[in-house]
Amino acid sequence: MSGFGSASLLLALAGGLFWIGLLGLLWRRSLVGMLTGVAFAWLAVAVSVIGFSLDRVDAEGARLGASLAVTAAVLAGLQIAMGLALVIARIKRRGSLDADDAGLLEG
Amino acid sequence: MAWAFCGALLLSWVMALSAIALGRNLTRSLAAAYVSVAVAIVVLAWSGGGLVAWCVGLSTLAGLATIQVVGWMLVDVDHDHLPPTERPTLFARSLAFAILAGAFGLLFWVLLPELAVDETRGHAAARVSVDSLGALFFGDLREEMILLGMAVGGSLLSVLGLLREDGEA
Repeated sequence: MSGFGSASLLLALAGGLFWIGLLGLLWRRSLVGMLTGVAFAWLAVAVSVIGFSLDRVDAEGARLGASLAVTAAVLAGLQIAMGLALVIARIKRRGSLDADDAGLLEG
Repeated sequence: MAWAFCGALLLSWVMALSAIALGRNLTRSLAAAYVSVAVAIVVLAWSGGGLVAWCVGLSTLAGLATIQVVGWMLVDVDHDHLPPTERPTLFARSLAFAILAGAFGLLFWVLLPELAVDETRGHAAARVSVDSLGALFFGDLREEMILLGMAVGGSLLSVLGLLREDGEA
């Protein structure tokens, strides 16, 4: 299947999505909102890998790029599952999703 | 075609930003996130990402759906009821993200001569199929897959440990 596009434009999209993921992770105070940011950051990683792999002309390089993107997607799913479990545990113990309240380990 | 491609990129980025900016309303935030990821899938498939683009996009959509379901259970989806952030903190965060956005802007400025739609690229998808990925994962990458399997098992056990009630087995 032939395609149409530009690897550098995909990398620009990946950079923008990663910035938005950081924005969500560090700006949002709701723990659930933070996880949305994390999902975008992982998507940015996968998009950048796909963008780089478009430049590869050999079959092995394309497959290795695909394997890295799929692995990133799996790890993203695991991280979201862990994050949601932590959110539920936090709700059970403290009853609040405010990340600013989660300061127990602060000096 | 080139303008449509660039427009789709911009739409995906804007909807992702809306998903974060609308975060006080969970339903609208995730709706914007769904649109962003769907457009990103189209862009990736258009660029020749093929099977991998669909795998990545669909797994991201599944993750967002999981966040939505759990969010519906835990929060008021129309308003998060958190008190507003203090002004100094708001200013510091805004400054940090403006600097980071400036850094990305500089990076894109350097890439500007290369930022063009190329109609000759995008043939990688033809070389990636389910069979070839399976042969790779369980052939040359089998040791890395063992590590990934351990990560999956460990994560699921940790989730089970976090979700169980205190004092129960």
